[in-house]
Amino acid sequence: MTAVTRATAPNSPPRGRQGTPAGRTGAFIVMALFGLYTLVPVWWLLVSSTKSSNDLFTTNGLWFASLNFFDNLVDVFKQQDGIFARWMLNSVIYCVVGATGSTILSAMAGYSLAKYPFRGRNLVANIILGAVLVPPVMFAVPLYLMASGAHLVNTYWAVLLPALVSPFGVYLCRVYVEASVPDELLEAGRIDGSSEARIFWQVVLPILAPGLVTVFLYQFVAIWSNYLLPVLMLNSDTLQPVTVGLANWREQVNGGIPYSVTITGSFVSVLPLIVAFLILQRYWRTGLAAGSVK
Amino acid sequence: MALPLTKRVGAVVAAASLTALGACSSSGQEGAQGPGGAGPVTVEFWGSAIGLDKAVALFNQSHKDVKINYSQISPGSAGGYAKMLNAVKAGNAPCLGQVGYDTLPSFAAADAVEDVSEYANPSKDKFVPWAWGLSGIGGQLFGIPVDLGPEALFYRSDLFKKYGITAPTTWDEFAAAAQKVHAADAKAYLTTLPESAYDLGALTWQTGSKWFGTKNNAWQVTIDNAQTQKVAQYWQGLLDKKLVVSEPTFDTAWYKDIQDGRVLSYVGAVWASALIEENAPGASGKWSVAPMPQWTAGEKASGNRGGSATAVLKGCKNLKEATEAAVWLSTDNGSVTSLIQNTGIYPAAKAGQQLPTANQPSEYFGGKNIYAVFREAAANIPEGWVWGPTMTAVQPDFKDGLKKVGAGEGTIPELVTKVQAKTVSGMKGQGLSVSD
Repeated sequence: MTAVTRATAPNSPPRGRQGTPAGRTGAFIVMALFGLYTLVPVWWLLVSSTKSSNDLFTTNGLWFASLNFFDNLVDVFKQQDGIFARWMLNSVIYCVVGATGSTILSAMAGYSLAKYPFRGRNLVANIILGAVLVPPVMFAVPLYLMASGAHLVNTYWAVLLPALVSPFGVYLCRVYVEASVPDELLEAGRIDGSSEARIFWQVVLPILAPGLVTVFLYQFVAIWSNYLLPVLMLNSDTLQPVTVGLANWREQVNGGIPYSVTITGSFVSVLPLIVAFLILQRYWRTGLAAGSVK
Repeated sequence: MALPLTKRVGAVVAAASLTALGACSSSGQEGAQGPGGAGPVTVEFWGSAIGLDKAVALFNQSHKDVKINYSQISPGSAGGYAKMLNAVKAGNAPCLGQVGYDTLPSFAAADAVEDVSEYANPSKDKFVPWAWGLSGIGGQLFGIPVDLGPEALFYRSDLFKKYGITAPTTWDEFAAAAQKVHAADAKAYLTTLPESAYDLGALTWQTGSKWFGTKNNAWQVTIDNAQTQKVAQYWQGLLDKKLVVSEPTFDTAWYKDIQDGRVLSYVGAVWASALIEENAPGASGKWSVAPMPQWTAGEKASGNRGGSATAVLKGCKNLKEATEAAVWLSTDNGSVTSLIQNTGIYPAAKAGQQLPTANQPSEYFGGKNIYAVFREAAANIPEGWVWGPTMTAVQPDFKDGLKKVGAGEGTIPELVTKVQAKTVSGMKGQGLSVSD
């Protein structure tokens, strides 16, 4: 870990100072444009969630009109007998359980691929790397057919089990272990008589912690935004995550779900993601830096 | 097991579903019959309209030997159709599924629906005839009609008065009105350019011609016919004179424009009334509805946009019970009343259209019963229209094309010819037989 910080620290400040003022202004403008591009929709969402249906389409989309946020909020939680709270809970369950399990599995797999020589190790590692390249959407239909064969369709497991596997997480953990866990440390542990399991849980995991946060957040977001899988797997409305629920509402303006409800619901639904990022963001940064050195 | 009009790969899918059925039959049997083996038959039903469960509850209250087990799934466009097709492949599809008329032919092409005409034909007279035609292809019937989207002309009566025009009864009068409005106020337009396959389809439908058909177990594609060209040239003419504006309907800007008086009317389906009322509250009391303008004065023809059927999906073991349950949901007065109140549909059943709930005067539309106009429209929509099996391609082709036409790139008549060719080659590419 220290090696990593030392390696980057001396290099970065001079590089920043070398830039001409014009270049720095240019970079600033480009970054500001990217920032705007990302933030304007969020700002629109925030502003729109405070508007009544009357003002939604008639007033400036990027500035406040009537302050109707709390009425909208009540509507969101009253719609369809309060199913929104259930959707939020489902999303949190899928994300927290899925991301935690997937992080532990990734750490175990990544650690063994990095530190235990065995026949076919590179083949396994390359297959996993190959799986990173396949968009997760492609897995949805085969997974559905498998879940259907195993009679898991329309249960929490149908969404949770696929969420436990993250090829990218395994890959990242492997790189991270190679970069930050010295073989000597493991040798020292073995000489002191620790079992392999104990070395993993008590020596390796604490060192990996920043990288694991990265894997956790990555998987959290991936599960949160995986749409097709729950649509295929789940029939009952009460098992759906909030993304599917909101998409259903959006399609139901005909059936009496006003836009204001869907918009306010969308705003509420991004709050947990923001909270997760605010809490874990500093680890996220350290984690990414460590991966990049290797 | 004749599979006319289906893809060649359909047979493979069917074979796969049979094996899967075998694997799942134990659990399927459990679901189909009660614990004693002689209990009520359970019919699984996947729908997406919120509030549909209330009509299902009415069915379950009044039936002892058949029960519907309803699941609220995602709307078709949001993954619901993919879900049904995959469930058919996996052999655990429900008996009944809510499927739009425009999507039903693609389900048939994928061999994902059952022909239930045998069980349904006794109920045929309860529905408007063209809706029955939309629910099947080539003499087969794949589902029971539920709702319709008959079209009429929505217009701002206050602004029509201001500009000194009355609701146009013919398309010639409509063009003259468009001229008058734009001459009086350069910022105002009578209406927007048709923006999708479904807009253009409904306008063509009104003329009595059709885009798709079947003959000798092959598809016919007649998108580029004389009537479509007449419609296309008419709207191209309005666009060339800058009398209509190209902008997407049911969009933020559109809702603003129909309240601000930039756009004065909309040729659209009955379900648009709820959307306009909800999203343009500032224009309450100022909207009216008139019958669709005609090509020949004195006629009453209309077109249709939207609507859906309760399809009977492949693999259903209780075809008779499932079909009868679907018929009950679509025709029983209590059920139709519930559907109108809770899901906002316009019923396909003739008796349903006469129900008091389907004829409520609306304050938003000047205290008038606008549904009388739509009932009249529904009774005068030409029979024989069917959608094609590749609407998921035809719709974006038209939508993107019309957007470009609106921006000055190409013309609508050219677009119609282009989409015709693209649709035929697309269907052949999917292994469907298309006759020339």
